[in-house]
Amino acid sequence: MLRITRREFLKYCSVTAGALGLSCSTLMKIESALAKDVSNGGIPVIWIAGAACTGCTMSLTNSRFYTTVDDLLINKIDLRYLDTIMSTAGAFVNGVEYSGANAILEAQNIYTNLPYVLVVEGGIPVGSPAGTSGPLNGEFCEIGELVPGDTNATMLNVTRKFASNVNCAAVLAVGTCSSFGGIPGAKGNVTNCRGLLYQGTRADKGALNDPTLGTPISKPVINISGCPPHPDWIVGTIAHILDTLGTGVADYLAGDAQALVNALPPVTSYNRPVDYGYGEYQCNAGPCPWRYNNIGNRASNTNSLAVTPEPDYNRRYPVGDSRALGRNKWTVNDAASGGALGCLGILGCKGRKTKADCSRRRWNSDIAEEYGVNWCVGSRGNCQGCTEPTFPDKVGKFYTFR
Amino acid sequence: MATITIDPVNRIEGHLKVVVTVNDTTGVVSDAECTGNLFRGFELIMNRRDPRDAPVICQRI
Repeated sequence: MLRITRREFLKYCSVTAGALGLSCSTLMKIESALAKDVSNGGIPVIWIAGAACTGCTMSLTNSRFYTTVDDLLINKIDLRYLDTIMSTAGAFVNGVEYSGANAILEAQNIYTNLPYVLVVEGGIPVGSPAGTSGPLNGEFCEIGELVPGDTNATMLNVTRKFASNVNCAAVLAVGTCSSFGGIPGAKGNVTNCRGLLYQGTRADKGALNDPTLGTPISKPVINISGCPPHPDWIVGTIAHILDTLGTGVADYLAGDAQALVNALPPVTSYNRPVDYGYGEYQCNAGPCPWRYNNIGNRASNTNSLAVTPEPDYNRRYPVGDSRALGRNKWTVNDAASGGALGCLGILGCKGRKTKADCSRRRWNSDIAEEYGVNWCVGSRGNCQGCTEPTFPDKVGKFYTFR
Repeated sequence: MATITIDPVNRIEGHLKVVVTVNDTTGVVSDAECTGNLFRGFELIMNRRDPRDAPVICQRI
């Protein structure tokens, strides 16, 4: 893995800031957060996974644009608990925590003694298997006895305890599962999977704020949705919060609740950070290379930032309007151009309903100062709308035009 | 006899718990069990869907 120095990183930031539409203040936050070593007041990050496929963790390890993942995990973020990556497991002898290297003891120590940022990956199943006692006990997923003195190891209980703890400085929901329920919460599931604050679009049915699950927890939550989210969205948001909390966490622990709110990045719909990927719909963010049958900015022009065409707003219908789809049929192009260069909306592309900047950022970047290589629609696959709360049941009826 | 429990097992995808009963003088394991601690029910989610959606949903397993 290529390491970059701090000097190189700052150079990359200045080169790409304009291209990515980051405001100057946003950029400075990322710079100062990532330049801050753990020894200089970093805050522990606890990453717990529930009904997850670990895809969000995999996506994080592909981080390249802001910094590489080894630099991020070793030098920048004090990630104390992430069971896919950490070197210690939870160990018990005769039911008592083994006092050597033990991930459970580490998590319990942080829970009791240190302010931390909680990251949740994966949905939270709140339902009860048939034949178990009590309603909604969440026993479809158990992740370990991370809460001191509490043998209830369900994802539901651990998440609620860790989020409501006074030491919890901020909560991040990484991925559509922990934001809205996602795939495990799709129609037909028996586990009753929820996001932290939402079940689909319903704001009062989350695992933290549903009154039927106990006292609602009012801790602010940032949703970094996506299936998986782009690594830049995760890294950018974490860096933003860690940087701001670096000054505000003492105030927060002293009783100033507003210090916590001020640390969070500005959000758009469904608590998604506006500066880190969710500001615009896919058609407009890049803009999409295929809208209006535009043949500029194609995926084959991977790293040529200069060819990005100017948005064309002088059309009869606005971008994303269903009535425009018939005028932008995907087959109208002549064979000489390779054919099939037009808008994919009529084939079921959900980009016009999906807030994400894949069309601008693209994925799988392997050089720090460049955009990614490609994205779903760039390779002529439909956008599946994976950042939206209705994924996968409404926007995700993948081959339906509506 | 001692019971050794590893929960959670780290560096795997998913959730796993291992319980081993071992004689603490001879070191002989007399019982061992492991538990997958997560159930999502992908088969049930796939019921009554368009078959063309199957690869898109099941890739997230």
